[in-house]
Amino acid sequence: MRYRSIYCFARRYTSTRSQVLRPSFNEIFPQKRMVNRILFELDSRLSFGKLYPLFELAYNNVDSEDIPVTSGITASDVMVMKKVLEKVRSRTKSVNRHLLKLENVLLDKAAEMGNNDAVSLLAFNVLKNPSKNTSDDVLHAKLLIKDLYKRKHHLTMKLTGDLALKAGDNSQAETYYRRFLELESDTFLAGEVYGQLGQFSFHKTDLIPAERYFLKSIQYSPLEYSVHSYFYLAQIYMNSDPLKARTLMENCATQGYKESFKALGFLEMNYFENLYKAQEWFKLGMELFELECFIGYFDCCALLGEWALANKCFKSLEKIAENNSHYKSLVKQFVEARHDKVKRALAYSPGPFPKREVVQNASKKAPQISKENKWNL
Amino acid sequence: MLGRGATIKLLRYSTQAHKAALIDGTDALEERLRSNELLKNLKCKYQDNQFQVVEDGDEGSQHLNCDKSLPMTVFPKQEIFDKVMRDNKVSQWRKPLTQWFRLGVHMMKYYKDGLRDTYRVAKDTRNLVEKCELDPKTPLVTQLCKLIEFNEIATRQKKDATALPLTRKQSVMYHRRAQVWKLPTFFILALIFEEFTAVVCYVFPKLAPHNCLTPGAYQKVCRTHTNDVTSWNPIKYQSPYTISKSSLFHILRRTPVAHISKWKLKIYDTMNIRKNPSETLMRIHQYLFIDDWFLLKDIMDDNPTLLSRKELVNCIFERQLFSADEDLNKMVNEEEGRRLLIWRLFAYWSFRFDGTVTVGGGQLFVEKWGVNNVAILNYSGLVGNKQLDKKIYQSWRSNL
Repeated sequence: MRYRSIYCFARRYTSTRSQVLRPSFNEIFPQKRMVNRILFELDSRLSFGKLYPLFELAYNNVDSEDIPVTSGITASDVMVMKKVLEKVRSRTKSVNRHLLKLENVLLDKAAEMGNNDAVSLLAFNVLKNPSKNTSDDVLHAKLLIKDLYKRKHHLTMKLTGDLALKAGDNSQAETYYRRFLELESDTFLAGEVYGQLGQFSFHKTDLIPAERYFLKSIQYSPLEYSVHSYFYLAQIYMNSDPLKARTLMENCATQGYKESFKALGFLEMNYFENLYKAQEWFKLGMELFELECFIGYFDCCALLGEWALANKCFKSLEKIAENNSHYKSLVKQFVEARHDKVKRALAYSPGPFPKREVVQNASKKAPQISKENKWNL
Repeated sequence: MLGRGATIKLLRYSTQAHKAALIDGTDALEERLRSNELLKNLKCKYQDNQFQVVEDGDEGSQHLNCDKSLPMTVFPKQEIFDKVMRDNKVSQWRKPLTQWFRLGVHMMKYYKDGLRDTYRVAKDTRNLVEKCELDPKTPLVTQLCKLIEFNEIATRQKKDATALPLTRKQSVMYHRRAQVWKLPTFFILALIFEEFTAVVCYVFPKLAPHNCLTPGAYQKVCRTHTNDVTSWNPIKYQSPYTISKSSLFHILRRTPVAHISKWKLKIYDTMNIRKNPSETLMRIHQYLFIDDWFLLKDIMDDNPTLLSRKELVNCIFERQLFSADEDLNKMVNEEEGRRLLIWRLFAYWSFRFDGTVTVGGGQLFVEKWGVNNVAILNYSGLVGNKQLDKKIYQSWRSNL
């Protein structure tokens, strides 16, 4: 252990200037356990022990024009390395700019080495922002996509669909997504595509196919990538099977899905009559400044007789209304509809003691109780 | 992650129905007949013979009736006795003996057919869920409720509504297949008591499968399932979880739709288990909604609806639209009694479904009453005062 730290120390100070400016790789690279799990999910050919030196090498040469790749490493291995960093980014829900740069470099390298997925991703990155790229680049990207499309490359189909969706052409996007599903129908990517198709059907109120697509989406994609599908599915089951809807909605809430908090709060309050649980969901929604959550929380407090908390909630609601003109009229309506409750809540103080003078007077007036007769013994 | 662009469906945890939905007097009936489109429509259908109650054994609507899973409405004693009396081949001194013998043989055959039909119903519906491409893990009623909701949303948007994957007959058959579990007990009883099994079944009618009941035994069963909940306010929304514990267990004890054994209810009550009984109540509510929906859809179609007498009795029985002193089988075989039963069904439907998409309105059932609102479970739509209800019926009768 001691030798290892000395080695690291020595390496840090003998590296080039550019390396000194950046944190060392072992400081920013995620834990071995996490990377191992991701490698297992990606069905990687190489283990952590083989890939770690490659990551480090690439990181140290990230500024050079060409990163060295040891023999026996294929383009798909480099792509796996890129995917590992991508998954780390999505799981930790944080972006490290040095790892992001490394991710881009790995993507470039994989494309150079002839990986079609990498080529497709790079070409679509160019097409997504044509104004930021030269016309030659755009033209070249188009040619590459055309070629991959002719070869029925699955990722190209999906990305073409995404591009059409971004342009607002839903029917075209749906066509491309369907073509993608003809090529690949039971993978992680297919799960995402099913989710998109489900949303198309949901917005067209074709609810039977929508339900089928959402079910497939949550079957193939992990929760963090199919949270929309969980939410829409919960909406579909809300009237017929509230118990199932609650479970699905709770899954959404674990991912911080904003709309799920108020839905869960109202479901718990009005259907399952679990007021304390409803209060907790509303609290989470209030942290995201959801107006309905404030209203729900106030109602919960009123039902539970926690008037001091209701008062506090009402005060927060008033503050929000002061800063937002749209909310002002809503809060006004709220006060009109719950006039008696608001009046009662305002009579209570959110603090432990209402007024200092009252406390002082009370302490003066309170009879002195001696220790002898305290328990009336 | 924040949900971007997600459309939120409006959740209903309150009723939109008004107090005016109740028929609480003859004037209210007049008013209802004017304003309640459904009651008006049902009256027209009944007057035009578009809705008929046909005799047992007649050709009824094949997709609606499942007579083989229901008990007889007339005890054939008199018919058999008359037949023997008219039979010249049987000498006069043998006639009393032959009458009872033939009645015994008929009853034996009735039990045999009943047992066979109970088994057949279970066998025919064994793979029904898989055949209809539905989820076998979710209760059928819950799935049908969801599909009806989809259907109504599509109808409201004037789209082609997807038809339900099964008919009313299949739906009730699936529900009644639970009777098959009575067969092993029944066989054991038959083995022990032999020819006295009929007597045992008369004393303990619930031991026999439902389609083996005689009218007398049926009346006995009916008496244990009367709706004696009078303190409910159907206007206030109540979910299966918000309803008071005492009301919940009372309903479950009295409901004819699902049989829950007393010891199970006792355990739930003692251990304060709320989820299972609440979910059962929800399924009872959903079953009745589905049955109402199937029947109303059929009545509202252009083709005539031919409901069998057995099914009419069963509809009244399951919805608890009767009092303990009434003999439903006797009523259904009399012209006036039949009219009264039909009227009760119409009043019940017009209270629940008026203004909903099912009968040509604009609201979904859920939007009108709220999600699984059990406050309206088996609510007759009438006052509950016998004298007043009779008066209202007379008024309705004179309107026909």
